[in-house]
This record gives sequence, structure tokens and C-alpha cells, in this order.
Amino acid sequence: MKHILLLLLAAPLFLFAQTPKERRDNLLKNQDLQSLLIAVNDENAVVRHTAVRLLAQREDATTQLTPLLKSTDPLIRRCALQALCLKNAATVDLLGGMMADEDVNVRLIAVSQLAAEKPVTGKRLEILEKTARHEKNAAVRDIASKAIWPFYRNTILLRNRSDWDHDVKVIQDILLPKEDWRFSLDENNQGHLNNWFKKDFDASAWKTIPIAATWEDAGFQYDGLAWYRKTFKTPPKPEKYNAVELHFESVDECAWVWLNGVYIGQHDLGTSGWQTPFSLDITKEVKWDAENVIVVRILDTAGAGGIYKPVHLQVLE
Amino acid sequence: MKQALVTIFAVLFLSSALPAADMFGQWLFNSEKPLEDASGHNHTIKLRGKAQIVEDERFGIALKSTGSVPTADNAQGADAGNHADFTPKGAFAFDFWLKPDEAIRAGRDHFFLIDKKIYHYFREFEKANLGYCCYLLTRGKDLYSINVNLGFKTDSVVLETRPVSLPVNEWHHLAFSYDGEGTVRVFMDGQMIAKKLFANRKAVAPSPYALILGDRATSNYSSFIGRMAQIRYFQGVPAEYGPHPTISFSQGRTVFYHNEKNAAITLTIDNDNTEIMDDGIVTITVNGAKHELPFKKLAPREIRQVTVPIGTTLKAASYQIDATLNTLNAKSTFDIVPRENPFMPVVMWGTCPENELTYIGFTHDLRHFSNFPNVWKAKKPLDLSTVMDVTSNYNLLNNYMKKGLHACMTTAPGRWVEQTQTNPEYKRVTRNGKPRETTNGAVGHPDIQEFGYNVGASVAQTYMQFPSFDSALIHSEVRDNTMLSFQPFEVKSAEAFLGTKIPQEVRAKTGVPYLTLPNFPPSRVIPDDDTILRFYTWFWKDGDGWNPLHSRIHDGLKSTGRKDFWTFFDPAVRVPSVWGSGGHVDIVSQWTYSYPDPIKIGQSCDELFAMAEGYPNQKVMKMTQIIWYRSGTAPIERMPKEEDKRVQWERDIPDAKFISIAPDHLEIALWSMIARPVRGIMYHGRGSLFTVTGGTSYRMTNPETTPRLSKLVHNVIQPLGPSLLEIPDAKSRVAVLESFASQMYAQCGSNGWSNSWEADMHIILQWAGYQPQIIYDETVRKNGLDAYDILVMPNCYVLTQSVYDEILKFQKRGGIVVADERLCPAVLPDLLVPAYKRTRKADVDKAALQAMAANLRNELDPFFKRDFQTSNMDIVGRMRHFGDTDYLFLINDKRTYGNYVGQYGLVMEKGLDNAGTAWLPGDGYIYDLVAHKQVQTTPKDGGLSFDVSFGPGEGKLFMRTKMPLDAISINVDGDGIAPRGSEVPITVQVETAQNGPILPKAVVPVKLTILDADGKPAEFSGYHAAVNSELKLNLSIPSNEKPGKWTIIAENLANGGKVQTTLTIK
Repeated sequence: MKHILLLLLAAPLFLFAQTPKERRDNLLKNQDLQSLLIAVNDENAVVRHTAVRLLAQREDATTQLTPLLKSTDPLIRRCALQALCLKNAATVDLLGGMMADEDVNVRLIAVSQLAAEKPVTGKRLEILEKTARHEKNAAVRDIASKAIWPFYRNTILLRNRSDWDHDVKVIQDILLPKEDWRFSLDENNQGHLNNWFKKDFDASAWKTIPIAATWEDAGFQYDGLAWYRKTFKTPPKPEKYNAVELHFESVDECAWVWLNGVYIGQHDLGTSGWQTPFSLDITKEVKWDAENVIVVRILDTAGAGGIYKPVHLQVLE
Repeated sequence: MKQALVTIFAVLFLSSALPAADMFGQWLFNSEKPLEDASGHNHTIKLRGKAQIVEDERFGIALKSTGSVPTADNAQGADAGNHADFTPKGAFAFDFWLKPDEAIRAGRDHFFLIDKKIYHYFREFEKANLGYCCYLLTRGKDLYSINVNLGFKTDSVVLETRPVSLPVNEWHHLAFSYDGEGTVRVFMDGQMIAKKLFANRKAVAPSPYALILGDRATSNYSSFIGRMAQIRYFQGVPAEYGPHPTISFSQGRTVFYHNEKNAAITLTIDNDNTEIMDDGIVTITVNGAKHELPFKKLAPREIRQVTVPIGTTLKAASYQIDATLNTLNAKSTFDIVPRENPFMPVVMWGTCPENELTYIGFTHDLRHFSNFPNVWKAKKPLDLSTVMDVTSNYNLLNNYMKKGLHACMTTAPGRWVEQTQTNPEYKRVTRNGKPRETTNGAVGHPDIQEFGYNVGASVAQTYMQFPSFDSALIHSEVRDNTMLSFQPFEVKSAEAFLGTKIPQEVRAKTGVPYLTLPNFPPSRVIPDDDTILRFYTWFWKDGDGWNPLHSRIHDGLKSTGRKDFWTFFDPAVRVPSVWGSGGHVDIVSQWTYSYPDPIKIGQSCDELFAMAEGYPNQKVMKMTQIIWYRSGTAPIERMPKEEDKRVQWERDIPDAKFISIAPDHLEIALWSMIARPVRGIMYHGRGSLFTVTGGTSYRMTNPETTPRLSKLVHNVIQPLGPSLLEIPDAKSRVAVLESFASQMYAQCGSNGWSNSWEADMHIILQWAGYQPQIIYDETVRKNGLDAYDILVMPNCYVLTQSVYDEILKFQKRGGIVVADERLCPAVLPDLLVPAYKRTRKADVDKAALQAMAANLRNELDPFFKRDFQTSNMDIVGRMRHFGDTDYLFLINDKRTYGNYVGQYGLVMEKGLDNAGTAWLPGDGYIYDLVAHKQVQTTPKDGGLSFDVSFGPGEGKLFMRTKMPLDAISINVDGDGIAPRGSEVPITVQVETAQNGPILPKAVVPVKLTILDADGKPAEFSGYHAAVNSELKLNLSIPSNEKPGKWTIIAENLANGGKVQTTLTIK
């Protein structure tokens, strides 16, 4: 009580201002610590947020920011956390704790900060893995998932190899079946955590849809992640070849591909990639005269989506 | 009349007598054996489809074709088969009589007379360039140009005559000949009416098609409609169709503005003979007046062109001009037309028949004028009339000038190169130098850049003398599928810009996700010299080659110095938010679709202004798509299977791929465009505006759309257009940052589609009653943020240091930052508006976004006084400002689901009535510029409140002046009497009487009606802008004007005030 009285005495300009604009103008003009600390509880949101911003800009206010993480105003909590991060005063434990905040915008700051440093290891990895599995909000989950996304492969196709000075010919072109691909939406970005890419994963409960058509054509009015799986038979091993590739005429819009449980590469050009054909090398992964399992994870952010054009297995010489 | 005799060029033939002509086909349709060949070569014909042999008064019997309708198999004419005789070894000729039937006036625009070619239009493949054909092209009522098209295997040539009159039910004799050496001649009623030499040509290429008389070989829709008689075919050229000395007026420009300087037409004297043409006198007769020009002798085979000046003081009308030289004579007509009033372009982005253009009030349509193969081959600018027949285009441009229409060229030389040229250097390649699987060429290549200039300069040389050719679309949609490319010249250019190697992280044109980068700053503030960002800045500005190419084409088109000519590029903001799109074009434009919320048209329009800020004096136009995708409005897969459950258009055209925009959307979109200082508006999708025959995926599915557009153009754009062009934008105090750094590091951005969160944030601001201005990172760096009180930052994940610093300064001086949860963590916002993801339920989304708008307004109201207010969010406002006058646009965006597409829940397409109040701070007088009347106001809260009411989708424009508009006056210089041929200055003023008569600092729309002695509108009649309340014009009394009393009426379109005076012409 005594503390508040001292503050009241020290901040006459702020307290006597009548309108929110006057109060805010006074804060901007004076920026004294006492006024700011009072103003973070102002009835007007803009005044409160201006106060926390001004507080955050002060060198001497780190200790005053921490209590604001418990403010009833989520934007105050968010701004306080932002400020602590900028001042390098947000520990992993603090950030982990803020991941329990009820407000998604606070959690977004926390998860972004946790994901910012690479590689993700230790406690941060633990928190992010938990977030990727259990977080309710898609944006928060997405940042966590991307931060710990384990799949990346950079393969250079035969025709792009700078040491390959021969014509590359397709000597065998096998069109993968268009019908009856197993298909599942992955609205929560959990597929890879649930091993949907594994060869022996049981996808019998999934729907079936054709490729060479969008998933909207099959009745899924949906933007987001989805997975396709298909088992197909290959012919006997050709006598002579230099490489084998999976050739996608196009997917809408990004793809991550596994063959027989092995990650073989991605087509991730963002929104611009939806009409760009691509190929992925499977020379080592393909099994001849046998059943092969192809798994494709697709991200579509707008409009139609899916493997909307045919997929080929191409034997190259 | 001054005269100039100019020998332009002379063509000397090697003496080559024409071979004797042998008749290889003669079809007289005589009554006993009407299908037999009378030439003795047994080329008996077969009648096709509905063609008949009929009795005829003049020839006893004739071949009659009745034309076709698209729904019936109505082949016409006669088939003479594909005999070797019909493949001339060199020279050949046809002649015949023809008589059009009345029905031809309702037919399509081309009518085949002779065909052994099929392809009368340009195609590069071989089968389109074999054989020959002759056809008519409609050029007006009973007016046709006669076209002869010859194929030479790799290309074709066309001779098109000037329009000639072929009245219905009247027989005329036509003939054409080709000498096997490049010269084509066309004769009508025994007179040669056109001749053209196509250099380095020999025999036409043999064609595999049958010879068809009176129709096109494979088409059911191109037959001549009428009768043909006495058709003859010759190998060799009969003497009467061979060389003759002639004089003829050129087929160049024949329409001139009243009082135009240096108007002239060209008389061509062609001594197509073996003897010298002696000295003589050329007599020119115009409007009864004769002028004589001395003529110096002309050598055999020499051609001389004589410039004949045209006196343009004549009254607007058509005039006959005759020329005689010895026994030779030539006739032609020219037209004087009134000078154009200022107008706002309304462009049909596509080609459109004249009647449709006029019905809507379109001022322009798109036309092709280039010739890429020849310019590419020449490697320099060409006069295209030397390599192709340009008569068709000249005829079109003359006609457009007569009708007050304009042609806008569409050109795409970059596209042509990528589609036709195989040089590997012209292809985009991967880092390893392998060609990319894309059709988007490496247009930064110097050869292509130079070609771009040459194409522009060639078109300029060839067509710039036509005022009706005043604009050009330079490429379209080329950057959508641009790709990173690593040709050596591109890598060199990038490295020169960067001062280092291209970063390895660069893989896609859309940037590098910051989440994938190790050690990306947690604050997400990056240095301005960040190499990855600089690479993408280079790529999107210059590196992909398109912007520099646009500049080169623009430079070429401007090479003749014509100042009123404007170039444009679209869709100019379908790229990340960085300056430079379109290069140096005069105008950047963009097309967008109006669904689900039509005020989004304003959002992409504001993006264009942000883009245009980057190049001095670049302006903005905006297009609204007439077409709607089914998928976004009425998905075909959700259409009821039972026909009785479908709405009418679904029953009529169930497979329509693209449907018509709903009329209320169209109207809201139109007002959203003109509420901003655009230089013109555009529409695309003729097939969804008019019922078009032939295959098209665009379908006219809403019969109310077309008349609504016509009404809006005639009632709003035409009266207010001249004024709208003079009224600048009002300064906005609310900025929306579209961050290039964020787009490149977080793959966000609207890319001109107006369906992203950035666009929705802009729409929220519109509904909240703000006037948002979109700014780019570069705008912030150039201008700072001092002009704004509120900065809105949707999807601003990443900022450069300089932009961040400006934001800190902005906040420090009290600016309010409104942002979403994605904001760069270094910036602490004053208000958070979480990003909204649309649900594809139009009512839910609109309600949610309007609720966000209401919240935002409540939060900001204590700190920010809006420039205008409306009593409900569905009355969307926007302001412009001139002098001390405000212009407030109000648009009724109140909508619900209708029964056009509303049943699908994706679009609320049906506008509703709406009423409420509007408020402006301060005082003054308010006028409704559409209703032309003053508005009653009530003082309220330090401003003016006034009632407004709207019909569905309706927009209104209110003008608020400081002083009342009291009177409109006309002052005619002199004593009210003007002799013919004189100039009479007039001044129209809109005055206020407050504190004495003074002129308000306003742009006031004015209608001027100037009636001649016969009560017909004279030059300058129409709509004008009184800038600073004053309009000054110089009336030019035609030298042949009828004496009498002219009436001049001026109408103030703000308050309906009218004044009238007279002028006596002596």
C-alpha cells in the first residue's frame, strides 16, 4: 500500500490525465518508471500496451517485467515475454513454463524462441517434441514440428550431376497406379510422429482416393497436410541402368516422400511449387520384382491440393 | 493547297512478260449441266451441304449459299476437288461475280469466296501455310475488305484491300491474280483496287486441301452468304489482271481530328507498265474544291507517293477525295472527327466486336499488331508494313477513330522467344546448368532484351500515326511461373549485385523459410545487407529479366516520341512486395476476382499504388474479372444432380467453367476501383458478358450483369471520369506494411490475389472506417513513417534493421502499431489482432471480420479521429481530396446469399438496400455528384452529418466544398458572333457568391452541350472537369459550317445548375 502511495505521488501527470489519449501522451512524454508501472494496469488496452512497451525499452526494467508474465492481459504477458527474450533474460525453463500459458499468442512467442536456436537439443527438444504432439493450436504446433522435423535429404539426380557427361534416357517408364491410394488428412501434423511413413504401417482404416486428381475432386475440401500411401509391384530388375527415379508430374504444393520406409526427398518450393514437376532418386531404395510402398506427405496451403498429376517410376540410362 | 511530291521508293522489275494464261476451271452453272466445268478440264463440282444452284435474273443461274448457324451442319459452296490443276506452278488468277444476300449483314465477320488453304489466320505450323484463299472481312454495313492469303510453306502473306462497298442484292465483279513472283493484285468491277509486292516469293506451296468455291474448306460457319456466278480459274494471269498503270490513295490513315496539324493522305502513282508515264497534272478534288499538282514523268515500273495535305478545318463528316491523272483516276474518302474530350479509359481486356464495345461504353479493346518472326530475324526495328500486310490493322484503327474507340496492343515478345527459340541460353537452368522444366525463358538474355526494344520500336514506326492506337499491354502473367535460373550471364549479374556468391540456401523463388536456417536472429531483425534477402531483391527487381524486358519494350514503343501513348503491365502485384514490377511501364494494373468480399478489389488496387510508388510518375489502373471461377463460387461437383433443384443458369449451362460476376459485386467492385485515383478501369471475360458463339469456357450466366455494367459506365464513369482523373488521393494516416523481408523468409504475402491474411486485414480496416494505405519495406526506407498515426503489420514475421528502426521511431513519437501474433518479436505492438483463417462460409467470415473491425475501432477511437464516419460497417468509405475540397466515396457492401450462387454458401452475391448516416469533420456544403444535387446536412460533433441510402451494391460520390456552389456561367469571348473558320475561346465557371464571386478550389464535373444550327452536337459536347471550378476551351468553327445560331449549355453536375448562351455563326 505504501508502495502504491509512493507511486501515486511520483506520477501526477499520468494519473490526472482524463482521457486515454492524454494518459498515453503523458506516458510517451515522461516515461518515468512509476507511471509505467501504474499504466500497465490502465483500464485502456492501448495505454497498457504502450506502457509495457516503454517499460521493455528501459535498461533498468528487467526485474519489473517478470511479474508482468502473470498479468491478466495476455498482450501484456506476451510483450513482457518478448521483452525478456530480447534482453536474453528468458531461460529455457521460463519459456517452457510459458508454453502452459492459456493464451496462444504468448505460447507463440515462447515456442518461436525455443525453436530459434539450431540445432534443437536437450530440454528445448523435449519441450518442442511435447508441443508438437500435444499443443492444441496449429500455428504453435507447426513451429514446434518444423523445428524438430527430422526429414531432409538432398539428392542430386543423374541428369543434374556435374560429373555425368552422358545423355540421360528414360529406358523404362512405369506409370504408378492411379486408383486406390490410401489417404489421410493430417490436420494436427502428427503423421510423422505416428510413423505413417513406415513401410509396415497399417493404413487399412484410411480412405481410398485416386491420384492424378486433386483431393478436392475426391470430396476433401481442405487445405493443410495429408498423406498418401500406395503399394505397387515392380517388374524384374532391368539388365542395365544407371539410375531409377520417381517422377511426379506435379503435386499441389509441397511433398515429402518415402519409399519402403526410407525418406527419399522433398519437393518444397512453397506456394510456387504446385505446378513444377520433380523427380527423386530411388536407385538404392527400389525393390525389383517386389511390392514397394510409396508414402507421400503433401502440404497444400491454398486452393486445390494433392497429387493431382500422375507419378512415374523411371529407369534411366 | 501546298503540295509535296515525294518519291518514296521505286521498284524496278526485271523485264518479265507474264506467261500466257490458260483457263483450268470455268463454272458457269448453266442450266443443263450446272456442276460441270466449262473449261474442258472436267473439274466437275459437288454442291456442299445446303448450297444450291438457283435461277438468277442476270446470269440465268448461280451458286447460292445461305450461310450457317452454329448449331447446324450447314456446309455451303461447292467442292471442286483436290486436282493437280489447282496447284499453280507460278502465276494464277480467279475471277467471278458475286451478289451478297440480305442475310450477310447478320453473318459472322468473314466470308470465304475461294479456299484451298483453310487457315486464313496466322499459325506457324506448315499445314497452315499451304495453298491460297480469298475472303471478305466485314468492315461496316455492306463494307468489306477483300483479302487474298497465300501460303509459302513456312509462312503466309495476306493482301487486304481498303474497305469496298458491296451492297446486298447487287452484282459486282471481283478478281485476284498472283504473278508467281510476289505480286498480288485485286480488281473490282474492272479496276485494280489493291496491289502488293511480297519480296522474294515464288509459287504458292501446294496444298492438300480441295478447292472450295463460296465457303471455307473445313468450316461450317464461314461461307459467303449470297450468290456467285461465272467463276473462272487461270494458270497464268490474263492481261486484264496483270500490270496496269494506276493511281490510288494509300490505305494508311484516313481519319483526322478537326483542326489536326499536318494531316495528309498519300496518293500512290504506280507506273506498272513498260513505258514512261509523261509529265502531267494531278487534280485533287475535295468537297467540290479542285487543286492541281504538277506531275513529273515516271519511269516504267516506278512508284511515286504524293503527299496530299488534308484541310482539317472542315466540319466533322466524311468527305470524298478524287484524284485524276490523264486517264487514270482514284477515289477515296477521309473523315474529320471531333477532338476527344478527356475520358477515363474503360478497357475490355480482350478483343470485342464494336457493337459490344459501344453498348458497354468500353473505350479500348486489345489487339495484336506485332510481327515477331520478322523482327527477330532482322535484329533491328522494322517498318512492319514492309514485311506484312497491315491494311487490316489500319482499317481497324481508322474505324476506331471514327467511332471514338481505341486499340490497345497486346504483345508478348518474351513469351514468343521462350516458345519458339531453341537456343539453350534462352532457357532457365538449375544451378548445375541443366534446363528447367518450365516454359518461362531466361528473358534477361541480351538478345531477348534487344528483341523487346525492336518489337516496340517496330510497332511504333508502323502504327504510331494512328491516334486511336494509344496504349499497349506489355506481357501478362509472365512472372507467375518465373523460376530461379543460373545461366552464366545471370550468375554474373547476381554476383555483381551481391558482391559475393549466390547463397547456397537459395533454392526457390519464394525465399528461404527462416525456421530452417540455423542461427537466424531470435529477434527476427536482419541486417539490411543480408545476402539472402539481397539476392531475392535482385531476383524480383531485375534478376529474372522480366522487368528490364518490359522497360525495353516500353522504350521501343515510346521511340517515336508520342506522349499520349501509355503502356501497362499486369498482373503487376502478383509478385512479392518489392518495387519494380513492370519496369518502366506507364501504368501498372492487376486483375482480381471479387468473391467472396468485393471490397477486396480495393485491396489489390492499393497494392498497385504501393508498387507504383517505386517508379517516378508511374500510374495505376485496375481490372475486375467479369468471370468467376466455379470452384470459388458454385462448385460444379456440388451442383444438384436433379435438374429441378438447379437454378436457371445451371439448367441452361451446367458445364460452364467460368460464370458471370454477380451484378451487385460488379457494382461494388467498380466503386472500389474508382474510389482510388486510378487512371482507368478494365474488365476481362467477354464470354461471361455476352453470349458468344463457338467454344469458350467463359459463359454468360447472369443476364443482369451486362446491362448493369453498361449503366454504370454510362451513368458514372462517363460523366465523372474526367473529374476523377483530376482528383488526387487523400493522405492516409493508416499504413499497412507488406513486408518483403517477411515474404522472403516466411513465404507469406498476398501476391496480388487478395485472399491472404494481409488482404483480410486490409478489408477489416475498410469495414472499420479507415483509409488504409499499403506500404512496402522500401516505402518505409524512403519516406519513413512520419505521415502515419497507425501502422498495421499483418504477417510481418521478419524485418530489416532499417525498417525496424523506423518503427521504433514511429512508436516513440506515439504511433500505434497494430499487429498479429506473427509479428517480428523485436516489435512490441500496441494492439494485437490475431490472424483470421477463413472458413469458406461467406457469412461467417464476413461477420467475424466485421466483429474484428468493430473491436479494432473501439480500441483505436480514443486515440485516432477518423477522416469520415458511417453509421454502419456495410457503408464503406474512402476519400480523395483536391484543393480545399473533399470527395467521399461511399459503397453499400450490405449483402446476403442470393439465388445465383448463394445456395453454395461461398459468396454472398446479392446486394441489399442500406441506409444510414455519414459524417465528415468540419463544415461546408455537400453535393451528391451522381444525383447532381446538394445534400441536406446537420451539424454534429464538430462535423456534418447527412443521411444516405443505397440500392443493392450501389456507390455514391459526395463532394464537400468549403463554400456553396452558387452559379455556373459561360463566357464566350467576343460579341457573340463568330465567322466560319475562326476560334472562339469560352470559359465555364462554377462560382460561389459567398464574400463575392470566387471560384472554389474544387474539381467540379460539368456537362457541356454545344448544338450547331441544325441542333446537332458539335465538338466538345460531353463531359468535362472544371478544375479549380473553371473550364476553358477554344471552340473551332468549321470552315464549312452552316451559318446560324449555336446553342451552348453548361450543366454543373454537382448541383444540377444549368446555364445557356448562344453564338451566331456567320
